[in-house]
Amino acid sequence: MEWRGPGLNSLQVTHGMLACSEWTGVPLKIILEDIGLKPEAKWMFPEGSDPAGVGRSVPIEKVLDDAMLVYAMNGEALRPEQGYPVRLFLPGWEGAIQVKWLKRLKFDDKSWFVREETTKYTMLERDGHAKMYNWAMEANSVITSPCPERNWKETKKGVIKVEGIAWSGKGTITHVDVSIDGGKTWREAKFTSIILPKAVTRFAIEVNWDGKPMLLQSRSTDDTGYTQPTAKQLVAARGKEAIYHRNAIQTWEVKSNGEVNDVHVYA
Amino acid sequence: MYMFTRNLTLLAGSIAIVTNLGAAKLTYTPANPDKYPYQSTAKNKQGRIINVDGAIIRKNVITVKEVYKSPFSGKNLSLGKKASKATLKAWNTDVRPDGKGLPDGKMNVEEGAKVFAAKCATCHGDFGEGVDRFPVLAGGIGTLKLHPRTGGDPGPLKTLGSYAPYIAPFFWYIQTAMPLSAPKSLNNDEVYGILGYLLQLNEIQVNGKDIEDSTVIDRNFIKSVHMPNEKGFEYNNLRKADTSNTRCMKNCIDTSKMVVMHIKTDATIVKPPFGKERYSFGDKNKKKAKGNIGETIYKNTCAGCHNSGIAGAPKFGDKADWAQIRKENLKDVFDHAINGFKAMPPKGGDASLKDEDVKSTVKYMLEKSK
Ligand code: HEC
Ligand code: HEC
Repeated sequence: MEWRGPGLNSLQVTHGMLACSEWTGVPLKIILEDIGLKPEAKWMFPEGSDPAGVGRSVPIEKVLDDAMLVYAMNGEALRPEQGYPVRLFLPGWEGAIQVKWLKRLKFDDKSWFVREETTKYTMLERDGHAKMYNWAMEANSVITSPCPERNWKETKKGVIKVEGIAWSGKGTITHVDVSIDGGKTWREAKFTSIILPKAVTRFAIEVNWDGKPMLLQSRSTDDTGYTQPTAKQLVAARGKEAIYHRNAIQTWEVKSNGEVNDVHVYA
Repeated sequence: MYMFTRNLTLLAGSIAIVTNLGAAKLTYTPANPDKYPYQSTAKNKQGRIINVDGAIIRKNVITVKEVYKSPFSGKNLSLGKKASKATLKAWNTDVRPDGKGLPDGKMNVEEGAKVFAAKCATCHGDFGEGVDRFPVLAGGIGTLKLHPRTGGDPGPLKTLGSYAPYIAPFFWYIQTAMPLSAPKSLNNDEVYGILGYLLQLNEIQVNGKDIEDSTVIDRNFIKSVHMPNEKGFEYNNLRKADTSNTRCMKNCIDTSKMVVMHIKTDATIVKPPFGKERYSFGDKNKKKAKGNIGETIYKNTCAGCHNSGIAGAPKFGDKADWAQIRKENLKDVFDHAINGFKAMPPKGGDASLKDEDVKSTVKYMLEKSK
């Protein structure tokens, strides 16, 4: 979202497409061990039974690492809109590939180049060519308190707890740093939840707010050694037409009256 | 064959660019369906084993062999039942870029255009130009470089013609997912005919020849098509990050050069989602709508048809359309909206709406279409 510039003043809009749940099911590896897999099976094609019959190409390495067929979410049977009775779960990967209402799995030696991985979910670069197979979500983070929907208008000045979440589809979050001056100086935040790979990790830090405007940011690092990029770095690498997978450092502008706004900072 | 004049100029202008593209040296390796270069696992800089997507394989935490060791390993449970030939035939419909999976069947382009006009044009337009916000299927060739930053207004136009690298997978897509209102209703012949028409609209040449109305489209024809953007994709190397930020802690940026971009419009404040009912098993409309009830109902229930004027619905905001209705007795108009009228379903299809609220919605629609 928001590759071209800040769009809507809302955490729900900037980062609301993220979800992290507890899934129950069977690792595909176990099922494949039982039925057997031919060596030429390099790709898997999961197809949904929804009207659009969503299908995608999944490389066998992912299938055999941590892919699962799941039937429950957060301790209850999958709800219809979550893919009842069985859906595919590929930890750490983009949502659109987590095929719901699973109908079949097909294995083949080459991938499919379906619509959802060519004309959609590809990232167009400045020279007019596009990157495809962008599966994994890179390290990302956002401050959830304050945010536009949960501002500081009614909050007393002084020491205030700033909280947020960080995640990486490639590994485990190792550090989250927070800046109140738009990225000039940073302090490391503390983790306030368990820290699991490919899962949302909570962080918090105390900030002394004297009522002056602030530019609040959070920046995560994961155990692949990757640190979340600034907006400027990400645009330099990918241009502004990528649509998907925007993981730039988010800035909330905190005004002296406690209002919080979605802004982009380039420096 | 009728060709559409509106886009002809655009298409003609872009052909030169296409030829240039062919000649220019590429700065990347085009994605080739025959070869995916990041297969199997690798080691990263810290010596950790990473997967195709650059993710760390957690040998110590979740070892496939240890933790996920199948209790049934080697026992061959043979659970479930074998798919019958008939099931396989009905389900095994995917089509690869090389055309593997394309079924028997054929249709010429003229016939295909007729099917398209009957089953697709209400949304995608007679010439694939896209009605309202429905996807544009034709044109845009040569626009992929036009990014706002380079001053190229109105930006890239990604269509089937300008963006899709291979046409064969769209056989599966169209047959599975389209028409949106009645997916899986097209037979093989019809899909071939439609593909031919879509290629013709995009002025795609096959073996150096234009696609004529009489051209017959079948498996072999589709296999010989090369789309203009065939080489326009690159496999993302997810093992190598494309940015390299560091955990700088002090004096990281020059604040004097800092630019803060604000949201351009201020009418976009989204109301807090906190503390609201998120999941409603019952009647969605029981939630009291705030503000203009007419506007809320219009957006939720009526806009689907009245925004685009689909099936002859008077178009929202269209003076001429509504001038006709204004001539009727307002009571009749209310009656039509509440009880249905020709293609207009009673209460727009939502029987739970109160008569009074439907009336407010009609008033709102009339008000906004002056
Ligand atoms: C009721 C409206 C409607 C009708 C009728 C309809 N489509 Fe679509 N079409 C859509 C929508 C909406 C999408 C985008 C779907 C999505 O994003 O999941 C779409 C997507 C497509 C795409 C993918 C475009 C791209 O760039 O990836 C193609 C191709 C397509 N339709 C072809 C057809 C054909 C052929 C027919 C007739 C047999 C048809 N459609 C009928 C609404 C419609
Ligand atoms: C499924 C599509 C559809 C939906 C949804 C829909 N309409 Fe309509 N509506 C139509 C069509 C088609 C017509 C034109 C009927 C005709 O004159 O043939 C129409 C006509 C009307 C008219 C003009 C009636 C007249 O006297 O000529 C009104 C008023 C109207 N709709 C109100 C509504 C309202 C209010 C809603 C939502 C509660 C709604 N419509 C939802 C399709 C729709």
